[in-house]
Amino acid sequence: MKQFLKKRWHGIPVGIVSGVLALVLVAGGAFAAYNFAKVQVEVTVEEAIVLGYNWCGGVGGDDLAPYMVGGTVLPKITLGQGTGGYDLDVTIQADEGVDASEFCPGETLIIPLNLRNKSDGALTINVTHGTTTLDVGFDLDTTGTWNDSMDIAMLGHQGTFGSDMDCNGDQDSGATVLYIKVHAPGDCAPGTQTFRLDFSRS
Amino acid sequence: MKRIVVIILILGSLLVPSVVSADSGTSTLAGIEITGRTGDGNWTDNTWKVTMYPGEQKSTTVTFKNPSLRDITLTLSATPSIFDDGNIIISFDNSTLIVPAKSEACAVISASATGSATPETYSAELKVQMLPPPLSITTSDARWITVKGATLNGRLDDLGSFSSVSVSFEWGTSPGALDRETHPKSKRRTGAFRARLPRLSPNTTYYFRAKAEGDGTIAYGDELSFTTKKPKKPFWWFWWWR
Repeated sequence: MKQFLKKRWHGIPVGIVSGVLALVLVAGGAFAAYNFAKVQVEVTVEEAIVLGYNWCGGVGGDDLAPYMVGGTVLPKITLGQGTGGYDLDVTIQADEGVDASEFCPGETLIIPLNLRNKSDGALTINVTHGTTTLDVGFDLDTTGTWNDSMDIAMLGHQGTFGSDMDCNGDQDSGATVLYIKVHAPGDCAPGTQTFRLDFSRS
Repeated sequence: MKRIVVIILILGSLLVPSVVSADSGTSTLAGIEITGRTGDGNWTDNTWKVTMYPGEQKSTTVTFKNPSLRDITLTLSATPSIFDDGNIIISFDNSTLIVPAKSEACAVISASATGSATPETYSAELKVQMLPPPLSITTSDARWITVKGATLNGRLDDLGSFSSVSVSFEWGTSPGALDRETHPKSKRRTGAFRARLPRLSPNTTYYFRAKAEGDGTIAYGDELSFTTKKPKKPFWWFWWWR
């Protein structure tokens, strides 16, 4: 035994080499005995709220298209995706050939907007606006009190999906209709008015 | 120079078991088979992919089969398990799962999103780890019971994660109050062990249980009992002689 320990391998005592190798075997064996498996989880969250409108340029007094309260000439309206995800820019312009002051001052415009919840869970949608030059209000019907901001409780999977954004004539149904009242006050400057609608959910 | 090369070779060999084990661990778990993966979303190789909307919870059930003859304990963890300031949470119905011997057990992995969750794809790594078996010991019946002595028997069933443990017997004359202990013996392997109790009182019931201790972890066997024998009456001629 002593002779074995006295031997050297490349100048290193055999006892030390043997000890290190034994340690490697024990550590490796213990590590391999209690194995583990790794699994990847990839969760993709998609937007549950669908915003839409189905008024494809048509002018009329029904609830599914924008209309002027007590007026007949509708200014040009464009809705677009804002920078905040749900933000929509509403631009109220003068009708071509008609002076911009047609909408300003003292007139009121009603814009319906469809909301849908694709989630199986109930969600609460909060909507606010970012303008002080126009008097903007929200409600789920046109006869109640207009709110400066409001929370809209939506049940799971409320509304049918796929709004008529491409104006192919298919009417949407089952959506929650949010009415946006836009009133131009007396001191409103003539011209294009742009403001933002902020949507958030919880 | 030769010494440096040799030292590098030795250190390199230290890494070999780790690399092999980690690589094999990405797809298999020694002694455990995954026999079923059902529920929401879909599984592609070792990845559970699920699409969901805010306000929803999706889950998948993974079935583990244990073909071995003893129970296996698994721990499940996800890293990270919380995303988007707590709006996305990955959880399990049980973070510790016992798969009985020759049987199956299921673990439910869930992903939930609050109504405020931000639309995005979130990735996590789920780790299923096998725990070492627990330290286990059994108390066996006492033998060689005489008027003044008995031999206590026990069996060390599993050393757990310890390379050696101390085994002994706790004993006493009242059930549940074993106030005496035999001298501990060191054991490196499973198997039977015994201890002789001398100088006991005749016709007395004693209670005992096996004990194993490894680095502060203690396991006990069930409490059993035995009664020492009554002393035999001497022959009549012994009294006559006296």
